[in-house]
Amino acid sequence: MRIAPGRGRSLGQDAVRRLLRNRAAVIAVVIILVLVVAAILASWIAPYPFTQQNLLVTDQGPGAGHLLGTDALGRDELSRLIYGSRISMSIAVITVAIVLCIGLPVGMLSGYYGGTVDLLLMRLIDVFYSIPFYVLLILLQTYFLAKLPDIHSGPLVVLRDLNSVTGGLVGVFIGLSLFGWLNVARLARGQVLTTKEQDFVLAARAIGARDRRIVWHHLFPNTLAPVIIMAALLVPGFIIAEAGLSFIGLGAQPPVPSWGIMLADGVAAIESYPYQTIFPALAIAITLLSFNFLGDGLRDALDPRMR
Amino acid sequence: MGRYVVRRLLLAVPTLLLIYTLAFVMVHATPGGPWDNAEKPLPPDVIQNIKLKYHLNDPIWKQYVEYLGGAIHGDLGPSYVNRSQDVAEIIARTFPVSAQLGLTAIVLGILIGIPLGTIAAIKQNTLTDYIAMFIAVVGVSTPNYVMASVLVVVLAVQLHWLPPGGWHGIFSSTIIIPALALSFLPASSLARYIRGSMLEVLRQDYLRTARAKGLRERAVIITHGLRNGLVPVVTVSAFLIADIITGSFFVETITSVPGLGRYFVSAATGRDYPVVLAVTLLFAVVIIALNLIVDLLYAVLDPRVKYQ
Repeated sequence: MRIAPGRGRSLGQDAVRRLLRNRAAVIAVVIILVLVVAAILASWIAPYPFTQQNLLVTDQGPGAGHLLGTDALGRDELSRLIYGSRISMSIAVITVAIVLCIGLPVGMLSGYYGGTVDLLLMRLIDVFYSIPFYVLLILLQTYFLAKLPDIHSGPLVVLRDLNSVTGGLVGVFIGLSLFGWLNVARLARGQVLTTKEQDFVLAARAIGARDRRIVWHHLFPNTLAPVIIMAALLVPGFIIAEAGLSFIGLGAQPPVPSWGIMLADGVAAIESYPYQTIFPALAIAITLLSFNFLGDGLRDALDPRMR
Repeated sequence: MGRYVVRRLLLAVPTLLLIYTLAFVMVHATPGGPWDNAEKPLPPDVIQNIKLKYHLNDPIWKQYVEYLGGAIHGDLGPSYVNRSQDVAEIIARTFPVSAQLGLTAIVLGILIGIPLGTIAAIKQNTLTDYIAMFIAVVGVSTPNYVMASVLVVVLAVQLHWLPPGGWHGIFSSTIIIPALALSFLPASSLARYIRGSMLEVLRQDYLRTARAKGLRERAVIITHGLRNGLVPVVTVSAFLIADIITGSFFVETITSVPGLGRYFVSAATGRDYPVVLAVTLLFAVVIIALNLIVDLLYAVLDPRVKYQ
């Protein structure tokens, strides 16, 4: 009697199965998907445009017509929250994409080839770690917000257009990407350093595999898992930074609604209309919680020791 | 170890120079200047005089060197906005406030976080553990300004238990809300780290020995368990302190605490160059110093760590 060998499960399938069993992570994924959909379809699902002011209904509490109330200028809170998710989600997605695209290759190649490139990268990371994060962001934003409106020609016009498209957040994107890619590069480098000494790499080299194949086919899949976890856990920090900067007025510029701006407006009226603070605060907190649970879930799911 | 310290200190100098250069370039590249703060547009000769007074006509490299020279001697320049005060004066007035707030926050964080994490580790996978870790995740996920806003709404506006803002010193009720808001992140971070660290320590053989000797459980945990479990926590604490000191902008703004963070923000938006430069340098020095202290403490606390 032959027992047919069963189909093996890859690490990926294992991970997905374990992730799905983690209820908090599943809820987190659902929430994040809802937010992404809301961000993309904002113009269709928001009941009012985010700039529309109705000065007859200012500072209303939640009620008919305005499910979450209105702010001091009569703008619908719910619509502004929905449009605000655009800013937060674009920070999450775009910054992570940039950070991964730059950090992964640089880190992996630096770890693999070593030498002066590696030394340079390490020194760069050390130096950047000493720079106060928020201070740099504030400096960058102050610079871009002041300088870009004056640029009418030359190569920097691209930045100016990016700035208006993102609602004044070009400096934030640049600053966050600068910090993010260093973290990812360091992690990728560490992973490559440990993996490249292992026997299967030696075996591959012995067969005559070229560097490119070793890096792409052997090292990359092993580096990917921790890097993805780190990316998921970097997102909350990014969102906090953007919202914080918008809060002090150095982030998204009105009329573009960001949850941080809404929070600032709410705080100004905090003694009379507390709900104007609570709704954006809840939105921020729920988003951050979701990404943190997702990151924790990913970390537990991708841990090869628990196979 | 002495050589390690010297090497780190030597490395700190070019780092500080780099940060100074970055900040200097960015601040001076930003258009606008001290004359923009006047309500009425100033006549050109007044602007000329202002430029002469603040050496703004000198070539950039000269301003760079002069400011650096002054800074090393403690002269951080005049404030462009508050013209009767030196930057050094302003910092001397606002930094203690931020420091007091920060210290209170970190102490609160330690007092809340360490017991929370330890209990979660001891009662692993029970309801206590889940509740504690849920609180910790919420604390890590909620930014300090959101926490501050919520606390002000609940405690000050609705319940009138605490004042919504202002500052009357470290022993007044005005410190409670901002310190609490700032302490949530450290408390939650510490709780999570301590839980992980204690989970490892609790499995170790020397704890079994201690119990076998007949020590009471509490003595076992505190004397033997915590002492070793606290080592990785020291690293985290230093970063948390650095974060609090250099990141209290938002909370200070919300609760109207006259600290350095709030002042830095108004200086950045008000083009007060010397203040921005000075504060950037100050924060950088603080972070570098804390990093060095952490590494040294690590070597002291964990006898397995050796630096050449």
